[in-house]
Amino acid sequence: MPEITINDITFEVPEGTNLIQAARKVGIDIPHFCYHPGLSVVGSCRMCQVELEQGDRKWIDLACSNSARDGLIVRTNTPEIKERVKATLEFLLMNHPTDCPICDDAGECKLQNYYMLHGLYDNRLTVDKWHKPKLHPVGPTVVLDSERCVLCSRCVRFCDEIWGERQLGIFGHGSNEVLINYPDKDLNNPYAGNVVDLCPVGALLDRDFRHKRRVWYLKSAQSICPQCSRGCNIYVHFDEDHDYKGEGRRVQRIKPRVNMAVNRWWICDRGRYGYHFIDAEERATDPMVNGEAVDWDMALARATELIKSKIKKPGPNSVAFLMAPIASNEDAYRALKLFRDTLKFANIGYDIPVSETLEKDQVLMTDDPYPNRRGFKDLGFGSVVNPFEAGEIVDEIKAGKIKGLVVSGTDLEGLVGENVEALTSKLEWLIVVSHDQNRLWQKATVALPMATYVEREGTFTNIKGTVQKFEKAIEPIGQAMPQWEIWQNLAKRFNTRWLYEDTKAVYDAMAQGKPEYETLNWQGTFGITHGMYPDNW
Amino acid sequence: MPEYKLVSKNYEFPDQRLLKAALYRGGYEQWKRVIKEKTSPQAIIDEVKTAKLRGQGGAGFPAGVKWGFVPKDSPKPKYLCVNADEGEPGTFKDRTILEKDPHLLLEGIAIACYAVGIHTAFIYMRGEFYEPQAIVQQAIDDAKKEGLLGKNILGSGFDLDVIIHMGAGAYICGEETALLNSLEGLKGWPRLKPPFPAVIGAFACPTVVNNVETISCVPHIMRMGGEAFQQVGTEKDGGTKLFAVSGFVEKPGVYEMPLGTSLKELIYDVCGGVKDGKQLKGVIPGGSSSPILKPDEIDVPLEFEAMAEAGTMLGSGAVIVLDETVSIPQIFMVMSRFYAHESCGQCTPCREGCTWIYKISEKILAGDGKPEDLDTILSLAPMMNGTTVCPLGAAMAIPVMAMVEKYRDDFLALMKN
Repeated sequence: MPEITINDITFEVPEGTNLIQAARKVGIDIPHFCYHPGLSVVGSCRMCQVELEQGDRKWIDLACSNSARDGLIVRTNTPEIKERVKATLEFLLMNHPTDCPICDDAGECKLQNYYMLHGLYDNRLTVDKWHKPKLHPVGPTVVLDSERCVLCSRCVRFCDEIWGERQLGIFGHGSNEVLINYPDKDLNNPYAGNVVDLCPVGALLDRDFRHKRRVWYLKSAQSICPQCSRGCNIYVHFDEDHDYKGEGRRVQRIKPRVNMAVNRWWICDRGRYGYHFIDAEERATDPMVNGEAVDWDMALARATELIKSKIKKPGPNSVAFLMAPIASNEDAYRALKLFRDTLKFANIGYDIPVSETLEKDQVLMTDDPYPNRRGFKDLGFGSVVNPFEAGEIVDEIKAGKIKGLVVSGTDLEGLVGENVEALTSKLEWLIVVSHDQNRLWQKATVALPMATYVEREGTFTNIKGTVQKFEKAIEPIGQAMPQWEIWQNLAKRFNTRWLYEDTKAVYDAMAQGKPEYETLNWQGTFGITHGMYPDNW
Repeated sequence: MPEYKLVSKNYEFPDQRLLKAALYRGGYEQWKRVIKEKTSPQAIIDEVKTAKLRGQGGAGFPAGVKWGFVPKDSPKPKYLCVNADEGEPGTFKDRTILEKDPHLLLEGIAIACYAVGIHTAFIYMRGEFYEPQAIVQQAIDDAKKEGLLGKNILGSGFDLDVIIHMGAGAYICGEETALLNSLEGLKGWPRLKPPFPAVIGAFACPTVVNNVETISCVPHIMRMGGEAFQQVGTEKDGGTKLFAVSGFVEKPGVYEMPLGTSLKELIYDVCGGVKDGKQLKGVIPGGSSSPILKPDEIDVPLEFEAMAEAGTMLGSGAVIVLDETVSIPQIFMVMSRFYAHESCGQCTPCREGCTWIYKISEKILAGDGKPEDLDTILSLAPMMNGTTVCPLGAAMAIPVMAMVEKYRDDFLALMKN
């Protein structure tokens, strides 16, 4: 491996490592706007100029367009380099409106950060600034302020290179050129939100987040996106302290978390904006018995009665358990312990179709809207438990053979369509576990509110079989509780042998002797941090 | 030193653009000889190297060396791009070749392509060159009919297609990599170098980009021999150069001089001196991108090295003569407006710096300037020189600094308040 020296630190990096990336390895941040490791190198912002020395040759060049080779000496701190960086910054800020007090990017803005680190000059601009379009909706989810734009072309390259269609372009020339849509093109690709993350300044803003919170009020938890089976790594950014804004919305935004093996730097818009259910009005907050809000004790007591009424007689064939794979591995593991091992339900299904069809694409999105189908399968759902498909269980219900049904995490629309009556009218009782008051919730004999993925911790197994942990960001709403705890509390009423102290204990029990789970380091994650976007290349 | 006509030898004949006339005066003779004698490509490249032929577009890079950079074993096709995007303010020399002797250019193209192993040549022509386009296209068609271009040229088995591509009016597309992007149908933004066009050029294939005049020298090199050609000029700059003299001078026009001729001689002996016997104020010696020379600085040989030593550049050979009536701050404003408008906008220092300086120059001209503005210009300009993707930033910065430094009093005179 080549040995390079950056500011007197000598270290080894793999051949061909980009110098900006190499410098990061030893904690040196070479300032840059246009460079992003996921996009092609254009070298247009000119911020990353460094002094290079090799053999008897010494010259100034861009760090972004040079890669590590043996014996290369890089300096980022010579007076000449400092002067150039400062000058480039001054050029970039020349036409910038410096409206930081009303800019959503303040706090995460490279211009701001670099000015504090490398600028700190007095303004000597004595001429007028350009005026360019402001508040221009470039697409359904993103709004553009051209005056703030530094024309780094990251967003343009994202559309060209990652999505594969030209939707944004830089038009005109000279300093009054503008970033704008291609003629008759909208920034409407399913990954459009990434341009907001890529934008090093406040030019491209998320309409979903715009003017919602100052970013320094946000806290951040590391999580896994539950919107499809890819298992993209995300940050959940939340703020529970300023509820006078945003009608009590606690989760403010979702940002991608770099994982080179899964989602690299990106997430799709479905994942980015799909969090609104967490603080939606339809959230289920209290346990219900026959439509009346009760406490957990009463609800679980009633559920126990109902299950007991069928399990002995007419027997396990008369009851069924359907669990949608939106739940974590721990939930699934604990549910199997209860329904398969303790209660010996004969009908357990998880392969529940959804009414919505997802279109698989070349970037990240899979065609499976469930985040944990693979995890359910690995735990023994489907194959070992029984031969029934969820559809066959529904047929049995409609045929009057199954009288009691426990459902979690789905309203079965993909199975029974609009006509939920056809199902519920055949049942003597229905126990529903859900995070929202869906249409089965309305019909349930006993309805139990569960926590969403941001209100608890757990693991999902993605489409490739990678087990990934999501952390708890906020407290469950109302009386909602993690699904595995619901099953455990119910199991206690059936004198279960299996009791777990916390999610990690469930995980450990599940992981024992299974290498695919042992690869995950439960402790190796970071807990709650501040919510300013850290993967800001 | 009198004029020495090689490229412009046949300019005086109005029928030279016709193939018959060109053939009558020895056109395509060298091309036919190369084909007939099956001259080795390397021998041609060596001859051009010996001739010390340098890029006549402004940069002055040795042409033979450039050809030598093209990988010989590349499985990709190779291209020649003739840069006829003559847009440098003050420059009008290439246009004369295109209009008056297009067959000389085509012969040069043919020999260059043969030497490098190229079968497709593009002439990237400035968008406004409607007439030269028609003339050169006619010349290509005629030469093809005669079997001098096209398929199986003169029975040799060598194919060469020459295609004219018209630019869309951007000055920056005269920069070789911006030219290539424009040729490919992309926005005319210069590319990062390396890779150089000789390795990855047009359509990601090895490409030679040469100026019209450079290519037009090739037949003369083949005729005279490299050594004789070199001896016309100086040790490092072989041959002649076309100078486009304009401004306040008695006899403006295009003059072909041996390299090494004194600038003073060119202005006073060849062009008849400053118009109406006025005092000389300054000379912009190589197009608007070259730093201005004061009257006491013009006794300098017109060759790349000597001009660089004098703190300016030979550039495209566009000599702009300014007399005492000219306002330097006004020239400064017009020039910086040009660069602010023509900056491609890709990279920061040039995009913002050109506009900033232009806006300051307007302010000074309006009488609102302050001496500090000159200091601002002098501190901004060095940050645009050598910090950008292409040389446009430097082309603005260097002459700007020269004007402010050499004519500071003229600027201060506008700041009396």
